[in-house]
Amino acid sequence: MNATRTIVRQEIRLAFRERLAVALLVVFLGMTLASAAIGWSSHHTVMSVYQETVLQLGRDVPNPFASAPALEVVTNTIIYIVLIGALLAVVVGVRAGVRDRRSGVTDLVLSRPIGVRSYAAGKLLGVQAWMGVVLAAALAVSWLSVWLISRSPLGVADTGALVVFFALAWIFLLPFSVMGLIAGTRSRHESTALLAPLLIWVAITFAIPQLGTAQNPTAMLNPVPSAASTTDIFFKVNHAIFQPISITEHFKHMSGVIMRLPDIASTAWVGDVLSLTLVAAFSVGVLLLTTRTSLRRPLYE
Amino acid sequence: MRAAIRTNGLTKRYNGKAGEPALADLSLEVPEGEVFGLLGHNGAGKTTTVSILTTLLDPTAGSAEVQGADVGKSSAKVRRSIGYLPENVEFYDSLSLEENLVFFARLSGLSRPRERIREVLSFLDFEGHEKERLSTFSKGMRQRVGIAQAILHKPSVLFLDEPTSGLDPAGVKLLRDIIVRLNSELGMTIFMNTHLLAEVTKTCTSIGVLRAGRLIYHDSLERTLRSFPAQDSLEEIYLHIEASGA
Amino acid sequence: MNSPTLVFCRKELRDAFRNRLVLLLIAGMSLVVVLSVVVAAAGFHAKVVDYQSYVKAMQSAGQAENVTAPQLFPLQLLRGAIEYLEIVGSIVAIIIGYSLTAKEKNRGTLRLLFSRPVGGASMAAGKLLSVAVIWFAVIVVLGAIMLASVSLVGGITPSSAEVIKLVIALAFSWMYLMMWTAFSYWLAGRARRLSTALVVGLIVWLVVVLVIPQIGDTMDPDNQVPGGLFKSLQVDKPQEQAVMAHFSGYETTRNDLENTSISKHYERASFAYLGIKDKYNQQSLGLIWRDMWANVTWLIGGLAAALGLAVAYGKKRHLLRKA
Repeated sequence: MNATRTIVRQEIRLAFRERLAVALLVVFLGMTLASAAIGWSSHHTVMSVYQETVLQLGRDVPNPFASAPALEVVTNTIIYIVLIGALLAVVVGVRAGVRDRRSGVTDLVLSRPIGVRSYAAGKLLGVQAWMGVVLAAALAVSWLSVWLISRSPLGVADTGALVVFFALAWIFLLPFSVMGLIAGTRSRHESTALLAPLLIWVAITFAIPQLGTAQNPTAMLNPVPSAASTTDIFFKVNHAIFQPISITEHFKHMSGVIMRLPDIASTAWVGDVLSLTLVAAFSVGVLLLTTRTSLRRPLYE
Repeated sequence: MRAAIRTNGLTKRYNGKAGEPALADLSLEVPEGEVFGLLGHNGAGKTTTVSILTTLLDPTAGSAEVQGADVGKSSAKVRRSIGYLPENVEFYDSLSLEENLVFFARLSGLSRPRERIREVLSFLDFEGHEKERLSTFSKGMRQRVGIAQAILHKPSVLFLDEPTSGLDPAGVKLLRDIIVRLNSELGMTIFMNTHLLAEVTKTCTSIGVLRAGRLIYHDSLERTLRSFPAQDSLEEIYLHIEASGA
Repeated sequence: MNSPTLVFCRKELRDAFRNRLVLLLIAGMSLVVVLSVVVAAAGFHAKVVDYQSYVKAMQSAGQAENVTAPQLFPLQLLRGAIEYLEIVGSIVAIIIGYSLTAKEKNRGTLRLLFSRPVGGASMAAGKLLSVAVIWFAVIVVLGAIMLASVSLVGGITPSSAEVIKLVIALAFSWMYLMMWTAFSYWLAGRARRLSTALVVGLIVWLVVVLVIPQIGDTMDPDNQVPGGLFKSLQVDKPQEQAVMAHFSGYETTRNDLENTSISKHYERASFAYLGIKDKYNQQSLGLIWRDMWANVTWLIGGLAAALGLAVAYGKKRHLLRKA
């Protein structure tokens, strides 16, 4: 346990010294802030559009935003976690996996009284602790920006919802950190280590969901997930096959439930949690199968 | 004298590689307190031998013990008793000397390593750089970092893989002096892979020669130099042994 | 015929056909593009089936059907294909552009290549020419598959005007892919560490291809309410325009933001020519050009800039800085 703790501490310290990881952290926090600013600006505009419409029509129409949830202004954060958060997790994971091999330290570490599993687990915990720092910072930024926008602090229930949302994001990002780590500890080339998890992410986010929903790829950029849009057997079968691994769709749906977004069926969240947890657990299982031989493979740029 | 390292019929065949094994039937004993130099051409099996002895590789056949512990069955015990400096290791550039050493000390089981780090740096005459990042270090300084991390936990056996590779003459001399002091003052057994025969003459007490995975020669340096009166230097002796097979 | 540029080009083409990664990436990209056409076709088929069963149900209930039959505009089925070229195609192009430089740096052959008596820019020119040929071949094959798929599904042969529009959209796709390849080639040549070049390329991709268009979409007031804001307010198009006239500042900002993404220009131009944007469906080439020339100019400008950078910075003194 001590050795694992040492690796965890080392990984966090190194992540803070890695310029790229810090740059991505800044980008992520910047986008969280931007998400709030965009949310505020569009909300403000839509309310004005509504008032202008009522004025021009000269008749009363129901305000579509009357019952908008407090967290609606930060819904874009969902999509930034899917896009930037996942890329951040992959890059930090790959760098953590590759670092010791590149500097020739792997043999040295393995010559110490520490098992390969403790080493891999330590690396993962380190990367995920770093992701925890990133998400905690994003949580603080989101909370403060909602306060600034609505001019009153979030209540306990909404604060709780925001915390649960970022905790869910931590679980959602775990398989991406693991993919990065696995690729980083196994690939012969550093570039392949970066590309392999990235292509899997592109497939999970953009290619797989369309097979079950007939949605176009840019529809995947909508924070609200796409539902199975047809009763056709082709889509029904695909939906059944691919739904469990469409983790981005599960994450988006579950986030919608947590944030109480309109038009989100709040009943089907058990499947989301199950799918996200199983994929995370499976990926950790695969990581723990890492062997000394794979860690000691030579690494080329 | 008790054997610090003992191998018996040690063989390594890499997956998917047909033909001759990388290491064949190596039986060897290195007594405690020796500085043993393992010599051989590129690809002779030197790094494979060190990798097995440091528990990084599993042998295909045979057995090996370090300080009486089997490298396969008691690998954790072996790792606690050894220090290791691989070839061309670069460490963590973004960390300071102290941060690098604290990391390796903790991995070696030291819970409060700072006092020990000061001792080791003083022994290596390397004080005053603790807060500097490794990115500013020369190759020679990095090699001293390597030795420092390898002896932090007071190992009884030290494995060095081509320790003088890439060093300038001043760096080579400094490292040679350190190796001699580690052996004479701290009593460490040292197992060293090297190409530089001039260093072997100045540091080793015994040598072994590997050719194509087989140990073809093993004796004390003193006896070796006496047994080949026709050869002027260890270099000529080595080339003679390599060519003739004994 | 044996100019150094052509020698480099031929070698790269031979290399590409033997490079599993390049072949795999292009095959993967083509697969999702073709799949999207099939999925769109299956989606359309489902709509027709739904409509027929509805009509049957109405007839058996003795009621006259009052729902119009779904209309097929074959080129509209290519929306997903264009979006995949926009998102996945660009990332594949980045990887290919990167690998053109990376393989020489990894093998240590750069010094050797530059020690030969060849012009400074001929390596970059030859390599980019080879990619131009590869992307051309890929686009031609994909275009043929698109044409065949939509004809089979619709049971009609697309008109010559539609074929011309498809060819124009495919030409935009070629320019778009070439632009990303050249950009990434330049980046890999500039960076001291190859992996940093790759990560920077991916960040630019993320921002330009995904984040900026997504922000633009999110800021669209009509997208704020599922099903459309104006629909939920029961407002028709002329009234919508009258209301939005009061928000021209906001709309200009939104448009300017979208204009910073070259992917958005590619998407707008292609969607217009393929009639995916309803306003341009079945319209004349002249009318579409009148609205789209700015987008097309951006696209050509982006390609020219990327090619210029790649060739200008692909010389010995840049690439051997610390190779």
